[in-house]
Amino acid sequence: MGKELLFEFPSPSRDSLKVYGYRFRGNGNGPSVAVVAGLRGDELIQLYVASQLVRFLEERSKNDPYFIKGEVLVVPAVNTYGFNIDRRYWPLDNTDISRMFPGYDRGETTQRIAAYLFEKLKGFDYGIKLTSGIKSVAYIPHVKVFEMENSDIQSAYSFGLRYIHRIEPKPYDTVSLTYNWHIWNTKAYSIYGGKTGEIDFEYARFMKNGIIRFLSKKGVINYRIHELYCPTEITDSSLYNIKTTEAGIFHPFRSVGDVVVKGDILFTIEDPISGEEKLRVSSPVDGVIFQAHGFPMIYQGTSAFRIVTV
Amino acid sequence: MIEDIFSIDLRVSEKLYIKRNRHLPENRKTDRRISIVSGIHGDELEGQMVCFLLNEFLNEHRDRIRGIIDIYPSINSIGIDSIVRNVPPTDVDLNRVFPGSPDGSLPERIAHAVVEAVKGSDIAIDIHSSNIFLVEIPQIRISEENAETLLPLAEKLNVDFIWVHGAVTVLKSTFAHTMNSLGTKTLVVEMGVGMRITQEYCYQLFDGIINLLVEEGFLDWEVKKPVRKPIISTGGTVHFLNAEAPGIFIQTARHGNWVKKGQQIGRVVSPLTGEVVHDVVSPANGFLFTLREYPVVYQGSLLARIYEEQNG
Ligand SMILES: [Zn+2]
Repeated sequence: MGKELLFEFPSPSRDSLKVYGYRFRGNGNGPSVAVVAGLRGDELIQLYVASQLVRFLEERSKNDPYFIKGEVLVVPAVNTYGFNIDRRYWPLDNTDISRMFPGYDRGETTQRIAAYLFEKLKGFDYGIKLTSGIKSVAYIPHVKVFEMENSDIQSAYSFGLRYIHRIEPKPYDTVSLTYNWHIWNTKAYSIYGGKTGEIDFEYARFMKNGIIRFLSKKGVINYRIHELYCPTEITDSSLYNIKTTEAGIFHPFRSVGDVVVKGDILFTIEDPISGEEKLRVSSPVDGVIFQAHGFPMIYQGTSAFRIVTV
Repeated sequence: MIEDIFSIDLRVSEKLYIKRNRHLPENRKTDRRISIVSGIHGDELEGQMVCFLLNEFLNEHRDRIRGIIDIYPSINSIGIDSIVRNVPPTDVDLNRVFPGSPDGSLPERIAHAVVEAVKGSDIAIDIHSSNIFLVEIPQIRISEENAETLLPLAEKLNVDFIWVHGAVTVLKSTFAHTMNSLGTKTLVVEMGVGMRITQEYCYQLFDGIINLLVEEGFLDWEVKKPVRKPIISTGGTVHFLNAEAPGIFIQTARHGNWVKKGQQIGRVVSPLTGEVVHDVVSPANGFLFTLREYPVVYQGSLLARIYEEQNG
């Protein structure tokens, strides 16, 4: 119970890497859930959500011995070396711990780190990974589930987030934590929201409450939380991609989560040298903005927005 | 003939270009095509010199060309010019997003454009230089599933070693896997070390590519000396030596040599305490084909790979 050092990994010259978890275990026979964040050193909102979840569980369980009915393990930060020096990946060789699962304890450094972590994450009924997508793209808080044999898509509704994105795993997904949880019989979900390197505190609250809602509905904690959304299931084909045909200054007029109707101005592209407006793009569809380019400049051909059409 | 296979406007007053040099046979029509690709990783530079040598040779001997020879020196063109391995500014490894997509992220669009350009070639050669961490003897890596079709080609390339490895699902996202599945016989060359050029290896591979061009009918030329007969990994075992403690790796064995069981390969030392934290010795009599070049290591950092022949 409480804070535990899951594993420690030595470095040639800097302080050792220390990966901590918080474990909450009740007397009931509710299911067990592992929540992992911070596999990359720029996943700040994910780190924040996990640490706020720890705080919530800590405070509630302290005052109520019947609060925890199952087991929860929360791991807020894995790539702490990256967090401390602004690096997304493992600083020495730039490899992605998030793509090293199930890991190999006789292999390369980040394979070993993944293996030590995965050893602690096996055997849970449910696994939740707080993660980020493409750098500099902002996402609406949502759940992603792989469409695989034994996928439990129904349980994704328990988060009460707005969208459940069902996706077929690609070859590079086979080395992700969620994919390997599936293989080891843990029902796995990825939660996305916001943008790397930033904390959107409102989104963070949605995401934290989503996990609390999941824990409550699955009988892991003794708690009632209000409903937020009746989620909509989507696939890649529900997402309308709006690319820019021009490069330059990206000037958005709408943001993630906005409801747009056909004809609403979404963004303009302004020439970074002459200042002239090169492009004005209005929405070709009705829908909700699912993700948006989140940097003030943009390349030609880049996706500026993805809109959920229903 | 220099051609753009991909170009987009970047943010301010610049285009991202990926270019190839196409050498066509004079006064001849042919569909036979070979593509030589390099610079998928921006910190790997041996391919730059090999592409130079090839283009220089082909410019001088235009009348000897018998098939279409396409040379793509710098796929991750901005990465090469900025000493960045992955695609700037995304930090995505281009060799993990093939076959890419025309609507995806920048690396996915680059990958898609490369596949579209190379597709239809009979043969492709993808030249890599390991990375900044390891020095590699000139070698070709082939996935088991393609071994039968690729081995005869690989043996023509004048390399020292051919490593046939098991199929790994994540490697399905590489250029080579994608092209092989589209019917282009694609060989991956690894040699030298990142951010440097080992000239000897570049000349060796250049000779190999000329030999392959001749044997496969792309070039009418007389090759004077026979190519090396490579060691093929299917006759033995590859041993991996990883660091067991963090520190600084000091090499003691010489790369590209045969070593004896128990022979010291190097030492991992602690600069602070003066201790040797890992005495690295060879587990077998074998060929030291990979050796760590970058000194800083953690537990798990690869230090060496040694090939042991089963009957040796
Ligand atoms: Zn490479």
